[in-house]
Amino acid sequence: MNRALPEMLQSSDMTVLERQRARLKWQAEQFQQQNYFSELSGVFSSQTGHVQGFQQGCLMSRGGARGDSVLSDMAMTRQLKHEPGLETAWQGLGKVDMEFAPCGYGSGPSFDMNHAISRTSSCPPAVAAAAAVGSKAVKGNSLKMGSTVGRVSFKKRKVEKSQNTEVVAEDESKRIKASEEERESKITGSSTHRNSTDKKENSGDTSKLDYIHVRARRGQATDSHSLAERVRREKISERMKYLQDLVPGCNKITGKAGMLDEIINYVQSLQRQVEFLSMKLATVNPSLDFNIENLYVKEVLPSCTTNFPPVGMAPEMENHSPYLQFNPIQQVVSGCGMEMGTNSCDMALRRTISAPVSIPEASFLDTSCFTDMQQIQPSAAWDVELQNLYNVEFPGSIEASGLKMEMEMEMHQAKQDCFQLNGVVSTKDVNLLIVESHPFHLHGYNFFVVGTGIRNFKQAKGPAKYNLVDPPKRNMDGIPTGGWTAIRFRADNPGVWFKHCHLEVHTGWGLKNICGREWRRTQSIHFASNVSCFLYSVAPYTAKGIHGFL
Amino acid sequence: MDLHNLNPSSLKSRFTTRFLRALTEINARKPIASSSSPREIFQRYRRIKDAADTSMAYSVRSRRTWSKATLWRLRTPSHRRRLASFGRRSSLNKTRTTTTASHRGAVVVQITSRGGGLGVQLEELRELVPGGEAMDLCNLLDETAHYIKCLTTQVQVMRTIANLYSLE
Repeated sequence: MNRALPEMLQSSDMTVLERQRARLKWQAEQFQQQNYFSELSGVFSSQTGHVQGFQQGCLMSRGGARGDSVLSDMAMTRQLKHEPGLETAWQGLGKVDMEFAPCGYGSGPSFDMNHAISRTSSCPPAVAAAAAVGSKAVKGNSLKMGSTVGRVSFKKRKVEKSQNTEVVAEDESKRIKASEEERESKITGSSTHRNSTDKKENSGDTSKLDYIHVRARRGQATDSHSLAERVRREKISERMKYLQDLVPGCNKITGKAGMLDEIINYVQSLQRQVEFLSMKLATVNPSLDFNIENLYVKEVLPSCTTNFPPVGMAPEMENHSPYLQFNPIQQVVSGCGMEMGTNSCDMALRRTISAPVSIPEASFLDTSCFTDMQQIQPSAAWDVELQNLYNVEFPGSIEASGLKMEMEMEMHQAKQDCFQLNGVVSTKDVNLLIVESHPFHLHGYNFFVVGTGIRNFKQAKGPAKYNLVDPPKRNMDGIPTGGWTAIRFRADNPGVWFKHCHLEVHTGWGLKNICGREWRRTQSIHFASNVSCFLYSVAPYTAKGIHGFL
Repeated sequence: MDLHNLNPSSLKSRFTTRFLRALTEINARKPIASSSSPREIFQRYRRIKDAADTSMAYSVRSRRTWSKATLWRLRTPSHRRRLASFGRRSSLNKTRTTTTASHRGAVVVQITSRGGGLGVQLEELRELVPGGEAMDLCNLLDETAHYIKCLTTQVQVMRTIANLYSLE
């Protein structure tokens, strides 16, 4: 018996060599250092009754017939495809060894051997003979002999092709260690559809191979269904991680549900941005042809700053251009036609935007308000804040289909030169086509809620119902779903003040605008605080810092 | 976006060329008047948006399910689309229930909603990503990632164009 083994080894040597050469050409890129190999042989030489030695001995006794790429075979059965004759043999051996590698120490070696042999029904007789030989050499000594034989032949092979085995050796050493760490508590019977994953290296390779290899850990189920399920779950988590990198601002979120929420919000916001931009392009009157060279010539950022001088902004504005640059670039998170900061100055310049621009209903869900200057005085055009952007129509209205959101600012001036200061502002915020009500919050003032209602605001009927006797005074109020709220306050607090929907994510989406007072003169503190609100909330998806500024 | 760094075959440049071509076409067809009715502007907006989506999907060349779905959605008229999607959706729901049943054993899965809060979000994501009804979670996430990438490119380019031409 013991003689049979080396003879068999000899006979299979040639084929093994050839096979290994072919295989190693295939694996040419994975060379490792020499020390792994020496480590491996050192490991093999420690022939104590230790199970580690046993395992490796077993492996080597098997592997003696097959060389060193035992465990790599386990992982990459595909390489055997080009050797069809021995394919089944290798696989059979692979399966046998797989069962060996994670085997528990509880059962004796003979038990395991018998187990293994009982499973290798598909093995060709040569392998079975080796197994039988191995089984007969159950006692430690014979195993040692087998292993020494294996080692000898192993070393022979080592001389012949030293560098090639390093890869495998490294695999093997890693896997032996891994198998030490995670020993299966039971060996299951479904060998034919056995999947074994190498969780470290081959996760990238598994996609290429026909077999998906899953290593079962301690206590985990090992039937094919749960293994397949685990593989699927790993794939999904891999993709979720990739998406986490793609979507900005969700590094801290763990868990699928939260991530999915973020992803959904992000995709929605991107789609709305596209719609908003195409709306903007629809209104733009191109003086030149749409020509790609022009795109190349100009650049994005400077174009925003050049926006300001022609608009005639006060020199102080230039200082804030880094902030304000954010607005044209980043503001369009909402995609709802809410504009703030400079763009509205831009718009105000093009005062010809009296023609209402309609935005279709499907995309624009939540916009709470925007303003519509009723009495624009030329001198006050800049003093009056950032208002008046789009008029959008309700769906089904006569003029066009689309949302209509309107906010009127009736400015009653106390004095001519202090246009806004101490004026009474009455605004109406409209919330349309939304499934929830929006709490909106105005910085810098407490206002009186004079009226509220549902559906469209009708100029005739609405103000009649205003409660001007004792309206509640607050600085945050909720706009009912599909309705409107009218507020009034005295604008005695100069500066640019933030007004936004208090739901954090909506702020990020643009449910906000600014009521500014004395835009030019009082840009200092309030503006800075508001702009820092901006910076947090306007930059897409970083709308988490808004509470710090309330 | 200057000439030297731009890779001529990148997604961004492909999309840009197509979109600009479409825009010129749209403008040529109906030059924008200083006083156009909201309806006209709305129609124009729809055309531009469709042009943007189509050019994006074309740049991706039908390699992805979402691009195929977008192109299909924009090409077939709505009545034919409704019939087709009806059949598709019912068959898909059947397949989805069977797979989940096999994996979850005794868990009974309803057709309309999957078990757990994850199902609601999954449905939403499927609606958002074009062509998303036909895919399981794994592929859906793949598609979403690619879709997000392309959308960001689209937004970037359109924003540049809009800023550029709004200055004139």
